[in-house]
Amino acid sequence: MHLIRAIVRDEISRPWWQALNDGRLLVQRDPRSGALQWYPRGHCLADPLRPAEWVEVSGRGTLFSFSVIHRSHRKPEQPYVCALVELEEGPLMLSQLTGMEDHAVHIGMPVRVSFVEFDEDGALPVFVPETGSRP
Amino acid sequence: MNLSGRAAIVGAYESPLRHAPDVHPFAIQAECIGRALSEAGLGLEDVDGLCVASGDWAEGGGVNSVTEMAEYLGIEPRWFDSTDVGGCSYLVHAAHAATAIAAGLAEVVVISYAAAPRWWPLETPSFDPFVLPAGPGQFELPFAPTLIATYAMFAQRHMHVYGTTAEQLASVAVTFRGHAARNPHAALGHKPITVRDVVDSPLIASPLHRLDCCVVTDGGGALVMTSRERAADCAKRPVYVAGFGMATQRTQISQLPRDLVTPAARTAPRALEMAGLTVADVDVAQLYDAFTITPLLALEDIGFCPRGESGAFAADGHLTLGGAIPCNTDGGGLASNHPGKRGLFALIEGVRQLRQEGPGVQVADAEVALVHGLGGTFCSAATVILTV
Repeated sequence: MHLIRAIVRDEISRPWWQALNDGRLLVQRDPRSGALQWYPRGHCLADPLRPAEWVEVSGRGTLFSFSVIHRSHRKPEQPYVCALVELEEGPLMLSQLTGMEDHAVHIGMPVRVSFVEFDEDGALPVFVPETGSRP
Repeated sequence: MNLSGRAAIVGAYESPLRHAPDVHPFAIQAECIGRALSEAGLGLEDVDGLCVASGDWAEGGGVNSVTEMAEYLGIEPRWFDSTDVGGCSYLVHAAHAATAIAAGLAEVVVISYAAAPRWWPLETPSFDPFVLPAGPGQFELPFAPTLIATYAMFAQRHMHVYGTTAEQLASVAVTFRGHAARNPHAALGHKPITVRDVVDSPLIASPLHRLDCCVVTDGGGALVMTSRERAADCAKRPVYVAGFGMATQRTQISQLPRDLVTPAARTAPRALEMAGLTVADVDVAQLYDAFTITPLLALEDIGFCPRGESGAFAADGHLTLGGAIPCNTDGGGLASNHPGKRGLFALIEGVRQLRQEGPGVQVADAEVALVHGLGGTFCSAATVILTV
């Protein structure tokens, strides 16, 4: 993994970050239509004046696309896998995939969330291969 | 208001520089503007409109770069635009300038750009991948995505869904390198490559290899636009802005279009409709090519080939002279130059093709050029149709 730790949390995002520390992955939902949205915003996409509500997702999904990043201007010491995960509830979420050899990563593979230590304020959700048995 | 053909490009100059150590980008811009005006038979005193977006990394300016550049030139334009949507900004400027000229808000507009990434010493936090680690970006930047990796995710998905191969992607780089071989100013024109060279070059962000990526050069260029009427009195054969279209789509990677359809699918039809033309009428295309996947998706979205078939289309030789749609005739960003926001060079090469002055390969008797640019990682796009 190769994580960037200097981020700015805010009033809207704080519940999401806090839930990660309890091992829960949240996305947002429109309370009227039930439509899910990711990433978090202060409003529902259907109406800029309607607040969105939080909903917990299963943390399971499939790999929609990915790239093994070998080189960048940040000069990572080791290649890492940026992963775009399609959550089983629908939204696409960017993360990293860890816990397997880079060459075996493939689109469509089942994955599940895993929480790793991120910064002094808490955890970050990465994804690992779904092996069939829940931890 | 019918905007088609109301404005014309009468000056187009690309700096031959590919490495300009210690030269501030404003100095490159000023020289390009001077030469583009001179070619048109105009002077700085004729300019009443200015389009500059030079506040990004290595471009030399701050957030108010259009006022900085106007001051640097010593002019006070009555109309200006500094829209910055990444690499296609200059196509958007051309569209806005054509509109302003048709409305009588400006008569002679300069569009200019330069950057010096090969020596630029200052950092810009949002350069890669274009977002700050706050607001929407706080949910993505922790995972260290890169600009190239975002394109790579489009390529990986395209390979998965359509069976596109690394060799087909490589054929794009090989074709444009061949065009660059004839262009004396192209950065890599002197280095021929094979498909094997591309797929054997180091992976940067899988599945994209080093030779799937554009060159990084210093450089700059300028365009001069005026009304159709005034263009008739200029020194060069006018090239008309016959149509244009623009669109934005997304910024964050999580908002990636699941069907891989980029905003080109909206901008090209808009541009062609304004011009009263179809894709079949296009003689030559300049398609933004930051990476090999970039023009492939444009070919599908614009309709030069069926969806999913762009890899085979490129590998079958359709992007060069004698093919279905010769593209990136100067070598493009993959082989000629790419200081960061390449759209201006795509426009300049479109103009040169219609003047029969292409420095790389020249499409004989080309009368309709399609220039397509994008910004960010397919975040925005603009298409301009040029005619003579």
